[in-house]
Amino acid sequence: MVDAAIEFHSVSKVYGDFVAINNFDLTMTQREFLVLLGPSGCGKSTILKLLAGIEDPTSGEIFVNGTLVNYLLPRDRNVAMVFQNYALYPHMTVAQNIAYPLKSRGGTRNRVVIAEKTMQVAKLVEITDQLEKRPAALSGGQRQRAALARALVRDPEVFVMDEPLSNLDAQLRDSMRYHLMELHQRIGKATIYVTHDQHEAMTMADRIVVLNKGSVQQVGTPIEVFNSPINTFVAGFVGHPRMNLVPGKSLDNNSVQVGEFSLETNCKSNLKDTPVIVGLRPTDAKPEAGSNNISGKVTACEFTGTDTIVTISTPTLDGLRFRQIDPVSSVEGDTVTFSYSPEHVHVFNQDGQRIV
Amino acid sequence: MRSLIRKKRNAVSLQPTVPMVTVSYGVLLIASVVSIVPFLYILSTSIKDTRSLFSYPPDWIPDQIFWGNYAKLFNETSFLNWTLNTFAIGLTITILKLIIDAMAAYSLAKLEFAGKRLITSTLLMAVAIPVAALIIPLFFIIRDMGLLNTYWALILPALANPLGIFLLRSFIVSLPDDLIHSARLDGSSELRIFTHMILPLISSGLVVHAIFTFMLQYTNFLWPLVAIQTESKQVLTVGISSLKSNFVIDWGLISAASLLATIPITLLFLALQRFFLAQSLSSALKG
Amino acid sequence: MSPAVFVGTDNWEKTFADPLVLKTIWNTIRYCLIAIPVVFVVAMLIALTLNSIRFGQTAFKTIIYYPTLQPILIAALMFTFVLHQDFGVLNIIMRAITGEPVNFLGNEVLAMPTIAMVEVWKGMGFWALLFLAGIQNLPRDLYHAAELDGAGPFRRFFQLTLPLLKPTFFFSVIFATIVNLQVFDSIFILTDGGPFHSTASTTWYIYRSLFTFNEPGYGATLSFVLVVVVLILTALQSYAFQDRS
Repeated sequence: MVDAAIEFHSVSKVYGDFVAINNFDLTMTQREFLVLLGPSGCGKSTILKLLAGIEDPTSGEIFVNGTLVNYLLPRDRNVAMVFQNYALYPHMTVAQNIAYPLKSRGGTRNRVVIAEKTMQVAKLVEITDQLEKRPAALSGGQRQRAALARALVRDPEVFVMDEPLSNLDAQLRDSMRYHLMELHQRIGKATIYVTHDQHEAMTMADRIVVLNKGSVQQVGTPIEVFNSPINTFVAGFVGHPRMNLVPGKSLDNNSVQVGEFSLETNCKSNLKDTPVIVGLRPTDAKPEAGSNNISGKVTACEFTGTDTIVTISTPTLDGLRFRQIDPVSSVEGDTVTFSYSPEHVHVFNQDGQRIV
Repeated sequence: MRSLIRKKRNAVSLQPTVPMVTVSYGVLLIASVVSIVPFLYILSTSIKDTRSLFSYPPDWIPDQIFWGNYAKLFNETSFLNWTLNTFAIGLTITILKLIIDAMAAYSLAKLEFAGKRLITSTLLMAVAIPVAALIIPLFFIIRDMGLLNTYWALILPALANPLGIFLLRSFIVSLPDDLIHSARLDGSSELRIFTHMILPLISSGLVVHAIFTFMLQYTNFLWPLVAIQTESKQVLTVGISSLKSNFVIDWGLISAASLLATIPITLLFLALQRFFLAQSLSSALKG
Repeated sequence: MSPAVFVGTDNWEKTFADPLVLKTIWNTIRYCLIAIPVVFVVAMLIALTLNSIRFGQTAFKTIIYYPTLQPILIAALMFTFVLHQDFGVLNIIMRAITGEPVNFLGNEVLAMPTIAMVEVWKGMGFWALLFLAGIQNLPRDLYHAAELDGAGPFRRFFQLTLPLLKPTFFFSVIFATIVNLQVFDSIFILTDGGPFHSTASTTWYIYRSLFTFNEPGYGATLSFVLVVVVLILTALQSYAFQDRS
């Protein structure tokens, strides 16, 4: 077996004047669970379609387990896909849906074998009691399981999933997410998972690829992406509540000036008086005075249950948001002070690129 | 003041008043009688001796049922031939059109190929061309092909009518693309996607298309009148009309033939009523 | 029939110099002007009454829709049994009232309106159900609002229903015109163009030019005119349809 399960070599996809995917490079190892994260229209679904063979790339090469698949039909690529709307065949029962890839790929015509395999994956996704129903009679979660079973039954080399949980309600999404991760542990096939939900991405991924407008922004583990966002797009997209991104300027001795505050950073640049963008995660704020302080008047409080997000304004800055963990809780009009440790002060240059 | 409020409140119910409902039932009753009486009258005529037809005042329900008109229809005219011809041609056209139109509709709805837009707009133009205007050119084309007076003269032009393609296309367009993508990933050939995915999923569209194609052939008159000259090769409509051109018109015979000609459509209507009442209107709107 | 010779615009000049051609065009327009308004008014009346009743709606719909399905030819043949001077139902009634039968089809003035009645009889069920579907799709809130404002049933019909159904009517008028411009079967059976060509339609002329007059060039010219007219109507229709959606 080749070490790399999936490779994309400078793959681009252009529709007319619209560049959907721009020079996409990626190498995925066996057993890796990779999440493509980005806002809608960023091209993440297109990458899945290119891999599955539903669309052809304009340029570049795609390999699955060392085989160039650009010129292979979808059926010959051994890629199984779970679609956002499940794409269950409405005129077939769940059992027939699951068995369909076995029959149409022409592997076996033996009914006993097909029935056994169907049962096996149905057990795996816990849908054995729904096998005789049509998709229309199933709940959202059951449809999701049926679609998963149909992808699993082929025993593919690679799984791709296009926002598979986006049509489920919040509770079901949590349990399905857990179930999917468990399945991945057990089956251990390379999986590409597309989502616009950063929470899903952070909890499930071995590595995250953040995409915007068809271009890769950052590739890294969830911790890398969260702790060292490579540019302001990633910084703003990953993390909730959204990171405060404030214009400032750099000072001597690794400090930056934001409004009337001067903050110490870990950034080793010795540019002086250069305009920069300073990023401060609301969740990194410590609710007491320290060495790196920002203080202002509370203009709004949002109580979320576990914490409170306060919005403050200062004489020169507006709309900064910070997290307060109970029991320290302010009300509108209070003056509050937050402090940041230097490693939590992110600095980006004017083009939005991280300054290390 | 109080009574005024109450009156207003009652008025909002949008319930038709009793006299209005009575008028409505009256109008509908008249319309129903007008719709049905001609059928009943030819039934009554067909089971009467033609001579008693001219008696005045008429006797609406004959004392004795006279089967002579029906016997004559089957023994002395080609009525049975016409019926068999109509069904053979109608069913052939229906089956062939279902196959051709479904394939064309699938390609136009879901596949990408060069010239698709041009083909689509050409077919749309062809839909708009009135049948009556095609009679003369068709006559010469079919004559030059040596097919006048053959069943092919009726079958081939019917196959070329593109209306059914657009009817089926509207059904296929509404199927999600991902179903087809998924089938492709699951290993289906293009033909298998067509036969195992598309056809079962548009089955109600195929039923509507089949009904309309068959009905259109069954009721067709002008083109068979032009294309077929041999009496025994004729279809039902033209055959029955030829009964009227005899020197002495046998009204009993014509009424019997007309009544029998309504039966297949009546049976079809009773069996597939929901398609007729619901779908014909929407497809007419689309067409 | 002779082999094809290019005759330039000869056919056009000759065709439109033929008084019979002009007469068939006028007859066809006359037929449409009678058949379409009458069938629409009757169908609208049926649709409104169907909409106002609760019990028996399906039964009435079924009965009234039934003639729509029959071949026009059979409908026309049935009409001979309705209109015949000796045994026609209508004439039996006429005789009972006035003592005299009426020769509906032998009369130059009456013949065309009578043929139009075949279309009315056969078409009323189709259009009634189409209009009923249109009425039932109208927003009910508007009617409640209108009633709160004190509008009676007639004002509601003329100020709400009719204007709201305008797109449906527009579509229907064009569709009906395209179909009725090609009237042939009923004329062929009932009058064969007579008396004195008072019911000769363009399609009847096209058919006769091929077999009786042996001048298919004239018929072809007329066919072409028909195509152009129908294409213009279709273009109008799809333009309006796009506007709506």
